[in-house]
This record gives sequence, C-alpha cells and structure tokens, in this order.
Amino acid sequence: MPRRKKPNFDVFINCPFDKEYRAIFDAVVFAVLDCGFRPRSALEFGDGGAVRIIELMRLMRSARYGVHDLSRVELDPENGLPRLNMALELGIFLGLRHSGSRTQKNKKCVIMDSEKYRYQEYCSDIAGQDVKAHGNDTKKAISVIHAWLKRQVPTVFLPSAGVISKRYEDFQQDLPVACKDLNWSPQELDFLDLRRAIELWLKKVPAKGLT
Amino acid sequence: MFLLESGCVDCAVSPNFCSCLALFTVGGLALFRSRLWGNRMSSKTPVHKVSSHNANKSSHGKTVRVIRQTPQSASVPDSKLKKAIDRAIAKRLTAANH
Repeated sequence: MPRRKKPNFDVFINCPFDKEYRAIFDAVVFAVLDCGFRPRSALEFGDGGAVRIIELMRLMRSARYGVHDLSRVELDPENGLPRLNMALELGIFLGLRHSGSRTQKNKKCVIMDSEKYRYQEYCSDIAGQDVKAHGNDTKKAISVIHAWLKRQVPTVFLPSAGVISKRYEDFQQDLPVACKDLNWSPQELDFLDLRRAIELWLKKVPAKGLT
Repeated sequence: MFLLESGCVDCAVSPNFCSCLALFTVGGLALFRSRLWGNRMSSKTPVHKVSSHNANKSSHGKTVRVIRQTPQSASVPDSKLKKAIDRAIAKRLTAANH
C-alpha cells in the first residue's frame, strides 16, 4: 500500500516584529491555532551560528501556508530607511510556489496590508494578487485569516471569525493572570511560549464550550 | 600471507602491488560500509525522550538521541503553565458570574 503523506498544516507568518504590531501578531497566531493550523515564525530560530536567510528558506519550504503582512513600508523614523524583510520573504515564498517542486507548487498564501490598494504604489508587481486590508485592527486581521483558512479546508467546521475574536478577547484577559503566576511578562512573551500558552488555553476552552 | 610474500601466480605482479590492492579494497569497503550502513543504522536508532536530568547519562550502552533538553531551573513545564491557565480561566469565569 502506498504511504499516505502526513497533511501539512504549518502556516509561516511573515510579519513585522515591532511593539506596535504585537497585538495583530498575537491575534494572527491565535486565529491560526483556533482554526486548527500551526503557526511558524522566524522567531523560532535559536541558532546564532546558522545563516538566517537559509533558516528562513528552510522554514518556508516546510510550511504549506503563508501569511504575509506588508503593512510596515513606512520609513523608519530613526534611520529613514524602509524595512524590506517582509517583501523579500514574500518574494521567496512566491518563488518557491512558482518554481519549486510539486509540493511547493501547492503552497497557499494570504497577503495583508494595513490599507487597501496601497500596495499598488509601493509594490506594483503584486497588483495581480488579492491583497487584504486589516486596517491595523485585530478583529479585521482575525477575520482575514479566518476567511482565508476556511477556504483551505472547506469541508471542515471552523468557528466563525466573530467567535474567534471573542475567544481571543477572553484569552487576552487570561494571559496576564497566568503570566503573573509564572513570573512572566505578557509584553515580552516569547513566540514559542505564546504558542504553547494558546494551545493549552484552546484545549481548555474548546469552541463548543464558549463562555 | 602466501600471496603477499610470493606474488600472484597467474600474472606475477610484485607482492607490494598485491598488498596495496588488498589494503585499498579493505579500506574502500570499510568506508562504504561506514557511509551507507552507518546512515541506515542511524535512521533506525530509537528516539527516546530524555529529560534534562538524565540527558548526559548513557542508557545501558544504547544509543540515545536527545530530542528535548531543557535547563531544569529555568523552564516552565506544561503542567505548570496549564495550571496557571486553568486558574486564570477560573478567575475570569468567577468574575463574570458575579
């Protein structure tokens, strides 16, 4: 009998890591986990000896799905330069999807920006893509992620975007309390700890037992 | 030994050539075995979860691949995190009921 491939539900999250974006990042991670997928991020890297871009490419190759947020195209107030990491990583992802193996060609992604149609000004080459706007709002970001993931698994029941948003609000209330117990700072929570905490919280508060 | 000392009977090449050939063959086989057999063996190596407590101890001579190793003092085990989350949820629900 031919061996069946294990389904790949890894979602590579390519987004800014600044403090202002933290709320949206947490919401995206939560929404991905609540929809039954597994978020992956460059924040997982811990080997200082490894070449970062190689590690990133390895991570992107291993993840079937990708969330790309291009909302940080403004010039940095400190050095007056734009941050191009997100655009570069989107390019690598699209390159893998276009020119990679058969598995890589099955990659799916969603591209987000803070404003609708703004990308046409700074990155007209992706004008053919369907870029979604989240307006720097966590609820809209959750809604975008939910709608996109729902399309990836059309036959699977997923909680609606409103329910995920409500659950995320509850989680946000619970996280500082849990962090206080563990001497953790919720603002400085590491990505792996955050993912672990969300996974455990979701097990405890499944979608049906919504409070 | 007989062959190495007297040389090959058929082709009558020097004994040095024979010993070199033998060494080369044995060395090549050893290398081949270590590369192929070694890889195959390593993929069959059983993976055991080893806690930080006994990560450095040998397990009765068995090969143990450590897949998870955490410093004991700094790490927060899942059970502790789970309990903290449980308490936080209970606190929120109690506050909501009141």
